[in-house]
Amino acid sequence: MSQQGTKPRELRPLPSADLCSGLMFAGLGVAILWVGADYSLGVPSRIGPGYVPRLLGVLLTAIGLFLIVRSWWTTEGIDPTVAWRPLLLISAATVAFALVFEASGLVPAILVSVGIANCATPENRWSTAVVLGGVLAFFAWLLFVKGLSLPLPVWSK
Amino acid sequence: MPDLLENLIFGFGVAVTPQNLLFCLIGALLGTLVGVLPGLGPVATIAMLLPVTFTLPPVAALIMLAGLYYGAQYGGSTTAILVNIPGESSSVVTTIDGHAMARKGRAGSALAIAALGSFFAGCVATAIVAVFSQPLVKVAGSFQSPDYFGLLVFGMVAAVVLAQGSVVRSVAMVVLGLFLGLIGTDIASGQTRFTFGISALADGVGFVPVAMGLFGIAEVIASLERGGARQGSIEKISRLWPTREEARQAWPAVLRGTGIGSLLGVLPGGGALISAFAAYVVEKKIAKDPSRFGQGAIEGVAAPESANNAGAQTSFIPLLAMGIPPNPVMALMLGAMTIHGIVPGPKVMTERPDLFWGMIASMWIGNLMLIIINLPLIGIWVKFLQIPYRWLYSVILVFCCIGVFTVNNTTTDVLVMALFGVFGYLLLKIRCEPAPLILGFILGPMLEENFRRSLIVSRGSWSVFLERPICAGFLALSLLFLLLVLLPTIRKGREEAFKEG
Repeated sequence: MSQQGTKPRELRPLPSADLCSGLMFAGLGVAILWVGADYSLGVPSRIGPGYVPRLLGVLLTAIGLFLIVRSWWTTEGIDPTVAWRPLLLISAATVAFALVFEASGLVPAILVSVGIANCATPENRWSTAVVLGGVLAFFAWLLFVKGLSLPLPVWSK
Repeated sequence: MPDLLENLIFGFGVAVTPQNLLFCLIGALLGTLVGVLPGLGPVATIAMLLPVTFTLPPVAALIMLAGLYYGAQYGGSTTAILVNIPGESSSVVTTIDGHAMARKGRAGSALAIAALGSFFAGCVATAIVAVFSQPLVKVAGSFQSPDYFGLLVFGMVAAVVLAQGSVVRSVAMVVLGLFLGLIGTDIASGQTRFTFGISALADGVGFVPVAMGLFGIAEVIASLERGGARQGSIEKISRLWPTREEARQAWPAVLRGTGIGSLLGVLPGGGALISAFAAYVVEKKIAKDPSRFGQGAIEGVAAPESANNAGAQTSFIPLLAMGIPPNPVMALMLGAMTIHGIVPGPKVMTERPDLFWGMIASMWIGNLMLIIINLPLIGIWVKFLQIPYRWLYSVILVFCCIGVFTVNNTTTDVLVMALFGVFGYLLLKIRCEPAPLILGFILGPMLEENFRRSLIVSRGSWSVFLERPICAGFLALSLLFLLLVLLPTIRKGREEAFKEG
């Protein structure tokens, strides 16, 4: 599990977890208040669509600000490294699945997304993608289309 | 009591039909598999299986999904003991002493104790679910909107207190989750909120894509970052039976673990994970010689493994009795029930007794199957451990995509999942737990609705929340919990508890 709690400050201080999350929460809170500004609050006995979002927006902003202030004396840092390769390729593979599926059906979507996802780790070769993609496409077709007869377009133009 | 017996017999009658037995077995097998494989948890798997359950009768579907959750608790210990990697997050603490035992050539004893402890805990927890659901249903029947509001607030506070990591950040995550739950059309006024004109969002953001993004996709990315979720060799299993001495040491720990797990499972925010942690800490605290822990103390395997299975099963109580899911897995169960047109809550027991009692009876049968699946057949599961993660993650990804798509037949949900996958990875980086967000997300609409109704009844006065004793009680308890956890001494103890991993 991840380390947490108060750690002794390391030699080069890491970005503070409280500061980063505080900024995010406060930002989101303000965004909620801003976008939700037009929604009617209603009257207390008949609350409108804006009432609860307003409440939550204020609460989120307040907690965010509290975290920002608190970050002065908390020492917990974040892990500042970002694994760009898996992050970008895995999310790209997911998006590609959606787009290709919409355009040309299940089998091409599986092949394309496995092809992209396969590159997320340097250990994989292109041959892995071909075999995995083929096997997966076959089993998905067998299970979902033949077995469960879900209405999925298998291969459309 | 005779009533209970009659109901249980009725439940067993439902559970032992060939079809339900088959799906119970499938759930137990899949659960063990998911438990054994690191980087694939019950949340993602249940979400992937939701489309499969469309075509099944509701009883069979729920029996299978329930089996998957407690089955994962059995499977998780195998990987923890043999490879020193938690197959399931709830077996994190089992790695400490379980793997130490395996290195000393006692892998067989550790596996046997884990499985037998889980079985015992499963039997007890099944009985607890059967006995306590009924009175709770009666209590829940008398609840009014303000009481539900108080209960929901209490549930979220308990979830925050029991979650890992910073309390304040977890509160913020709950609030954010509550907000995400409100996106879409407001049921009272018909106005669309926070949709940015995207028509696909008018029905709200789906629970499945959010959960799959946060727990499925984000987990794949994080596992790849850690270098493929698993390394290390698999320890050999010698003798698959504990010695008399080991059994003597283990059984009190199994009893304590079962007790702790059963209790913590019922609490909102509870479930398998927290139960295992708490049980391990208790064992270490009361041991005559705490230094044995980490060196292969059998209690360090027996207690958490019993506790996580007990906790997994008793977490069905709040869902079945009150319709309130205490953790993300139960939220998915709620989703599965809604797909089949069943509204979880006090009415399930009277309107669908076959489902209610059938599921409870199936839990006992499932545990019996699991002990056979996990002890004599252990060799098969060890084989699965040899599948490299670099193949597995593409499979997980594709099944997540298909699973999410089929829930509503829209690729928008797949895109939402991708978005929440990236967001989930960001949350991991800035040390925010996704579980409280999911809980808030599920409870958001329920909370707003009960809040609105309470204010209608009270003609706009907030004092209604303090006038009704049940609601005031829940709110006072919530406040007490928050204060306690923010007090320095308790906070320290809690941090220590979570540091054991």
